[in-house]
Amino acid sequence: MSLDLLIYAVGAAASLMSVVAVYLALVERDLVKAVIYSAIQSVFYSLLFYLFMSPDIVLVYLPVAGGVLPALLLVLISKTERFERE
Amino acid sequence: MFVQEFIAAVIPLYLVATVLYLYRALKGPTIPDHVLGVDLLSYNLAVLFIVLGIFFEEPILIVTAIPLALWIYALDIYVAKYLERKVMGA
Repeated sequence: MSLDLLIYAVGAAASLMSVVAVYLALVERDLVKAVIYSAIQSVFYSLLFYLFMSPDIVLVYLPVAGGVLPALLLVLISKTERFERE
Repeated sequence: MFVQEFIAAVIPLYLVATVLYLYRALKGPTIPDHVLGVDLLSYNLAVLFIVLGIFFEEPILIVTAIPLALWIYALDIYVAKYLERKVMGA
């Protein structure tokens, strides 16, 4: 019974830490740092999908959120400016 | 069962390590500190995936650790390429 509680505690901790990463990605002015914060968020979301017993979603989510999305965003940042203005 | 209780005792240590790596990944003053923080976070999490796969006794869950380690390594390549040349892609 306490082992189930431990797994729920791991999931709750992962979701709280992903909320911190999402907030920092929203308020960050340096766009490269914002991309890295969204990568942190995707790492914690993969842990959440894993704990919800859906490894197929993890296998799809990781290449998209860890590989394609940062590459696309960095290409876009390199075409424009790195720092966000007021 | 002994193995499950042992793993249940080990999982809080992985959580503490995750919090420490997350502090460095969020707070790191320079960009390489952030990237190294994400790396350590994801490699720690890959080991935790394997340990939890043993804990749940589901072999299919262990497969997810390999793409995690591989794709987060791709993030290093992208950021290094951007910081080196200021261009990505063609």
